[in-house]
Amino acid sequence: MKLKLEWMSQLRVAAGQARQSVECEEGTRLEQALRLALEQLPPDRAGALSALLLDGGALSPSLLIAVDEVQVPMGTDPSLSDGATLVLMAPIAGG
Amino acid sequence: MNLEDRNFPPLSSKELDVYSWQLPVPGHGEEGQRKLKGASVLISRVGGLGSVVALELAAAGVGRLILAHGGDVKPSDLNRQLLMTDASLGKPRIETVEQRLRDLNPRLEFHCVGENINQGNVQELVGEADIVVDCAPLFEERLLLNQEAQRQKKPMVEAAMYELQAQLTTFIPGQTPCLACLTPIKPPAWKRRFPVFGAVSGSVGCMAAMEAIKVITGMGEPLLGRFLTYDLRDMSFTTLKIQPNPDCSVCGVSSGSE
Repeated sequence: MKLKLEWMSQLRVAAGQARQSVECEEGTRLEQALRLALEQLPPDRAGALSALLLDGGALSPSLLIAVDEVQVPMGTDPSLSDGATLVLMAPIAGG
Repeated sequence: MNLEDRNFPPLSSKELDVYSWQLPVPGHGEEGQRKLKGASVLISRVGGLGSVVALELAAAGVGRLILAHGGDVKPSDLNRQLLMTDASLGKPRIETVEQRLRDLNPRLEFHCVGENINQGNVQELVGEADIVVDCAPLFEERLLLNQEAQRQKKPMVEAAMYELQAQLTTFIPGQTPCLACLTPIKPPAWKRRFPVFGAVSGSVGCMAAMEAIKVITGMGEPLLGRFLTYDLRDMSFTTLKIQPNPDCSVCGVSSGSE
């Protein structure tokens, strides 16, 4: 199946692109899809992105992740459907 | 936000004239304008984001603005902090802010504090306000303001920007997530200095002001349980549905809040 990823905030800058497509098997879960997305990127981009996405090997609790425009509850790893759009963002402040 | 029990102040003939272009907006009218006149809004920092929020709320006629911002005007402020001026370089930011806003709307009341939100002032400043607008650059300040706004059951408009991107939502205690539901800890990757254009902070500052106006007047639909994020690089706008975290340390069931 095919997934669409939208990187937001610092993730977009680290990934060097706003959007990314990921091909994966039916029933792939969120965390696995993200690892597949990282594998598709050049090593420097994947490294920069991993530093923002991961905290001790797990997804950072500060990430805001949505599947088809609905927030994924923190600490959950939902199974994804073909054509799903994932939005991922790291917190920003401003001032 | 419960403004319903208040006797809102009447509008003077000068005010009816000043606000004559917004009074006919459907859902607003004189009643909405009197609500704005009777309202107090705390803006945490009046820099790139908050200066535009303050300008718009002052222009709209919010009766009392509580503004907190420390430090002196620096050259690097001037690309986005629209209340600062070249002539005010080296002077306290809050003095320039107050003067600019008084020049725009001398009918308003201002409580200007020359320091940022901190443990020592947050309770009093939030206590003076009907609604809070969070425009601080540091998550320590944001999370502190969120905690106190939740404790005092005050709505908080949350605005942020980065590079050509911005985001916006409105938190209502007991109805929506709070900031700590989304960002439970200070994000280690966030840096005090970040890239941004003033037009980006200005865009989300205007929208944050509109959120505050909607919450005060009851007009329209604020971003409750919805999180707007956009990128002016390609003009893509997305609204996400967000939900409270039952394990949130500030507003969750386990926090002891009601």
